[in-house]
Amino acid sequence: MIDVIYIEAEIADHPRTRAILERFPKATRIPCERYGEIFNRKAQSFRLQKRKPSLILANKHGHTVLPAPPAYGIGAEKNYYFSHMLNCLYDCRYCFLQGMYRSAHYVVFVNYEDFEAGIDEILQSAGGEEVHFFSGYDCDSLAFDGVTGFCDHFLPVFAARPQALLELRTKSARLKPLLEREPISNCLVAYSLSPEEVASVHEHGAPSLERRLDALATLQGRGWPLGIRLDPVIYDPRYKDRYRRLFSRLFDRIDGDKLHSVSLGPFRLPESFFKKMVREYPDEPLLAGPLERREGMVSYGRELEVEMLRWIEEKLLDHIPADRYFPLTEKNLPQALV
Amino acid sequence: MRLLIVTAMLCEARPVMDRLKLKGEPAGEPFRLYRREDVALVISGMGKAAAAAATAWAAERIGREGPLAFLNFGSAGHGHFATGEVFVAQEVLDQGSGRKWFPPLVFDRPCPAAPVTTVDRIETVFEGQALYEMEASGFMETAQRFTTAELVHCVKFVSDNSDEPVATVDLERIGILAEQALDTLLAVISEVRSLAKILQESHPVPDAFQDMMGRWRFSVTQGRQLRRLLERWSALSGGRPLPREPVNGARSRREVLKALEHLVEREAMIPGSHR
Ligand code: SF4
Repeated sequence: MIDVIYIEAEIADHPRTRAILERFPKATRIPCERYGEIFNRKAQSFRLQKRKPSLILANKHGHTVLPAPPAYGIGAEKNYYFSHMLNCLYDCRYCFLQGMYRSAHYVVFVNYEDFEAGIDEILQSAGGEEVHFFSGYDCDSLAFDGVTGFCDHFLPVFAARPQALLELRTKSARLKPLLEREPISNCLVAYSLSPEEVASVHEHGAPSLERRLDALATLQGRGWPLGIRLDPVIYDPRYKDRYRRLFSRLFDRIDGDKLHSVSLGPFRLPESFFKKMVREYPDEPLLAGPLERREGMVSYGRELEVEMLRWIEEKLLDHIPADRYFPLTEKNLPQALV
Repeated sequence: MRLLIVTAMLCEARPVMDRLKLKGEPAGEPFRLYRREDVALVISGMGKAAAAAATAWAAERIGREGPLAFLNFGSAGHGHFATGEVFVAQEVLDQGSGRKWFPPLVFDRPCPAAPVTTVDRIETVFEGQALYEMEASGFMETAQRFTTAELVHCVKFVSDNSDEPVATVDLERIGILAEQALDTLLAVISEVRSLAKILQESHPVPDAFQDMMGRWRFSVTQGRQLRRLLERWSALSGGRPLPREPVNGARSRREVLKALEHLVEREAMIPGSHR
C-alpha cells in the first residue's frame, strides 16, 4: 500500500523508523533532510496525491504539544493536542486537512519520546489539575496504528498519568490495539459519526457507519470509555430524518448513559482552507452548498446552522444525560474535526 | 490536457517522434518543436539553462488549455547501472546550487526510481547512487512553474558507466538506447495522462461560461465569480442545463450575477442537490 517512503536523515536509524520500514520491504526509500522539502512545496495537488500517498518519516522539533482550540473541550479547563501524524488514511470530502496542507502524503513523527516529554511538561505546570490531550487533530488517531504503533506506546503513557485524559478520535474499526488490553479509564475512544447518507457519500475510504457502530458496541461491552463526535453536521434538506435514523441505530446499540461525552459541531472552515478545497474540488456538491463567509470562516448561514444544531441537540438529549453534552460553542469553533 | 516532452539531443528525440508520429514545426524558431494533437516535443540542446529556456518557450507555444504535463527524457551516466536501464527520477539535485526537487511518485511506475544529479559539465566520476546528467534541474525548475508537481517527471536511461565511459558512446548508440527506453517512457506518459485527466475532468469549463463571457463582457473578477457560480450550479444540479430565463431578463452584468446567484442558492436548498 505504501510505495514510496521519504526518510529524514536525522531519524534514519531511529528504532521506530526501522520497525516501520520493515513493514514495507518493497517500498522505494528516499532520503531527505527535512520533511518540509517534500510536504510543504508549492504547486502540489492534494487530490492527485490522495490516490497514492507516500509516507514521510520525520522528527518533530519542538512544539510537540499545543493548546487545543477553545471550543474543543469536553469537560476540562486545560486542553492540548499533539500530532504524531499529519494527514489521514481516509478521504472525507469535508476534511479541513485538504485545505490546510499542500501535500496528501502521510507524515509520521517517530520521536514519540519527545511528545511524551511535552505531555509531562504540561502536566507538571498544571499542578494537579485535570488536563485533556487530543491526539486526532491532524490525523485519525487509530486508522494507521498498525503501522505507527501509536497505541502501544501512548496508552501505557497515559495509563500511568491519571491526571491526564487522552482522546483517541477516530472512524477506524480496527480495534486490535484496544481489545488486546484492559480498558484504561483515562483513555477515551471518540467516534466521529454522520448519518449513513453523509458517511457513504462524503467519508471516502472510512469504515461504514454500521462498522463504526459495531466497534462502539464492542468497546462499550469491554468497558472502554467512549465519546461520540457529531461533527461536522452537513446540511441536507432531509437532515432531520437522517439524524433521527442515526440516533435510533446508535442508541439501539450503545447505552447513552454510559457515554463519556458527546459533542456537536457544524461544518465550518477558515476561508483560506475553503478556497483551497474548492480549487481542488470545484465539482464537489458539498462545497457548492448554501455556505456563507463570516469573519474569516465559511459556514452555513447563521439561521440554518442554528436551526440544525438546535434540532439535533434536542433529539440527542433524549438519549444522553445533559452533563455529557458538549456543543462546540459559536465563538471560536475549531477549523474542523476528525 | 497537453504533454510536452523535453529532450536535449535529436538522437534522443528521434525514436519518440517516430513512434508518436510527431511533425516538425517550421524551423527558424529558437528551438525545434514537433507536435501531433496534444503531444509536443522540444529539443533543448545540452545543459540546464537550455532545458529551462526550451521548456518555458515550448510551454507557452503549446498553450494553456487544460492541465499541462511535462516529461524530460534523456541519457544519463551512472557508476554501475547497466547501460540501457531506465529510471524515473525520485529526486533531482542541482549540483551547482544544491537545490532539490522530489517529483511526487503517485502513479504505478513501470520502472525503478533513482536520484538524478544535474551537473554543469559532463561527469566521468560517479559518486553515490545518482544518475548524472545535465538538464533535469533546469527542466524541473521551469516546468513546475506551469503545472502541479505530480505532472512533471524525468525519465532517464543509462548511456554510460564505469565500464562504458562517456567518451566511448556516440550519438548513434544513444539513439539505440533511447529507442530501447521508449516503451517505459510511453508507460510513464500513460500514467501521467491518467493523472492529468482527473484534473481535467474535475475542472471542466462550465458549458455556458464562454458564451456568457462573450455576451456580457465581464471583468476579470466578475468572470471568476461567474465561473464559480456556474461550477456550483453544475455540481448541485448534476449537470442540468442552466435555466436561461432569469439570466436573460438581466439588464447589466451585476444583474446577471445576482440572478445566477439566486438560482444557485435555490438549487442548494433542494433535496438531492447534495447527493
Ligand atoms: S475528517 Fe478525520 S477521518 Fe476524515 S479524512 Fe479527515 S482526519 Fe481522516
